[in-house]
Amino acid sequence: MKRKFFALLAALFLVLLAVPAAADASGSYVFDEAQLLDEQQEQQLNDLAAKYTKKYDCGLYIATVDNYRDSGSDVQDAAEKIYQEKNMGVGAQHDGILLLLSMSEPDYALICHGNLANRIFDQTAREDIADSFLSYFGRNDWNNGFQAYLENSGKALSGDHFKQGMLGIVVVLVCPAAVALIVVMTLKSKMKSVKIGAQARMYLLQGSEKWRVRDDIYTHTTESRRRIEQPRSQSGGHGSSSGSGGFSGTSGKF
Amino acid sequence: MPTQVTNYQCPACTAPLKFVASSGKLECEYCGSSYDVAEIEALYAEKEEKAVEAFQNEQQANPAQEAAQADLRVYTCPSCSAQLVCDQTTAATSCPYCGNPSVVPGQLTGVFEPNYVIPFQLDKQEAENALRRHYKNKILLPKEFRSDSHIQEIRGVYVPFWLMDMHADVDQTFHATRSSVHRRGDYEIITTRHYNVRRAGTLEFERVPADASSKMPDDYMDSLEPFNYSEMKPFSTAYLPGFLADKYDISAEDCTGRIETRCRNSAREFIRGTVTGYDSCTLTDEKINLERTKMRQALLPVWLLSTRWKGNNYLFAMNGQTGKMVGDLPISWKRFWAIFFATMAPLSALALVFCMLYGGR
Repeated sequence: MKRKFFALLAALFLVLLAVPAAADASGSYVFDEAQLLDEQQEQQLNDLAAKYTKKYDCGLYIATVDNYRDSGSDVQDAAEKIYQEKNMGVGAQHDGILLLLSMSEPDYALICHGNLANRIFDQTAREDIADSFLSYFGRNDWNNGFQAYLENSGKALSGDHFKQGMLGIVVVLVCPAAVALIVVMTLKSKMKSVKIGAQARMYLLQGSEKWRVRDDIYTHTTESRRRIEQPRSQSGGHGSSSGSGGFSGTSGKF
Repeated sequence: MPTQVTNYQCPACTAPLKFVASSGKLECEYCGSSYDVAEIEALYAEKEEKAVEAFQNEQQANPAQEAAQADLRVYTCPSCSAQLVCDQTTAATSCPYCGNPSVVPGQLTGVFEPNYVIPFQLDKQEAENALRRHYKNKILLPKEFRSDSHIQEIRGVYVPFWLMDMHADVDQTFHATRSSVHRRGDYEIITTRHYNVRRAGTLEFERVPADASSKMPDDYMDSLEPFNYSEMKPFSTAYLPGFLADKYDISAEDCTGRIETRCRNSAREFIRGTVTGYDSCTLTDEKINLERTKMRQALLPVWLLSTRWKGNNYLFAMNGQTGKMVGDLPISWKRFWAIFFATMAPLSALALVFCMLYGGR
């Protein structure tokens, strides 16, 4: 009886562990309405997206449609609506990035949602990611293009993850340790009151200074120039905007 | 036979007289009489002259013995005839047998005669109180030190000092700049105006002290500064009874180097302080010449307290005029690290909570 009870308890425990895993495993990250990919390619891309999503708590999504106008007023608007309709994103802020291809024109939109995604995938990062896949799409190499998109997005997330990790160590350990060290070293300095005299300023006779020379002579002027860094110019048909509702995005033609 | 040592005795009851800091007079512990310094000086002037003569005669009569016992001198206490064995610089002490304060006037004559003295203004009890105050609010002080350390010895000592006036001739040249920034199109322009700045002149330093006794640690004596020279009096041996005193054994020439270093640093700092209104200033050339213009010898009051704890000796010194107490205290490393982690832990916890709530999103 006792053995059966513990076996049941163990089974329940395993089921509870499995449930979140099962929930994760069923997540879809690739929505290929335009049927650019075969089943195997779709599954591979889905698995890659799932891996990065779980690792960095930020959703990576791919969507393809025949015509964005079925979903929104422009390709970016369509991407935002698809993001919301399919309840994409991770966490309370629905952090994630979506690459939408609309095949009619053809157009693409790369949008982000949530503080984390917007911080990591800023305009520069989005343009860099776009540059990585556009060459593939230009040759109708959809699978490699999507792979390039996922891998470069994952790289951006891992770089940030590392920076965040280091920043966390600095904030949680290094800064408090520095403050504590200042406190104890200040207390320690009060224990020492003996030191050799290095100054005689208190013995300087006030008003005793007699000046022979007191010159401040201008000699020459020098000038140096520094070019002011301009924000990166938009090239390759990229258009960027910060939309309402926490979205920001980049769009263009391919 | 005149002795080399003078005991200052109460004219009323012949008990020993001691100089009392609070009253500035010589007081008798037995009958309570008190006398001005000038009174006792006049009373003992003849005796002191004879003591000096006896001291000098002794030196001339026994040069071999003098050479053999270079570090020690032997005197006879005029009160109890006991032998007082002192080192060669001792000018005032007390007889270990009868307790009478004993002054050796011969030690402070000729080139060894001080010009000035600052009398003690704080007594032994105040020195002990000052030591207890020195321990206060020292969080890293081991608790056992406060309770277990005992004052092994407390001595009031007149320490010989050289007081030197220095004339400084300073000539410094600087390269200074002033910068402004403005924008022209896509460029930021930094305009820098360069100046050649020269300051040359003289400064006077007055009565810069350096202790003239090899027995006194220089860093302790420097740390006790400043002394209030307005209370300096012309030297008289009548201020010495009840305290220890030494004649100098470090010559003025040997002290001059230390004083010159201090004056040079201060002169440099003063001149640099007159170069203002620039964004940057770099010293390019410097000439500082120092000349000693006047030199005096003074006895300055210091209370020395030594304590012993866990086999280690700790020395504390108090300025016998101002009450400033100096002395390095032991550190409890257990308390050091406890405070370190007690400070770090809540800050780390706070930072962790902050990161979890706001980090990354």
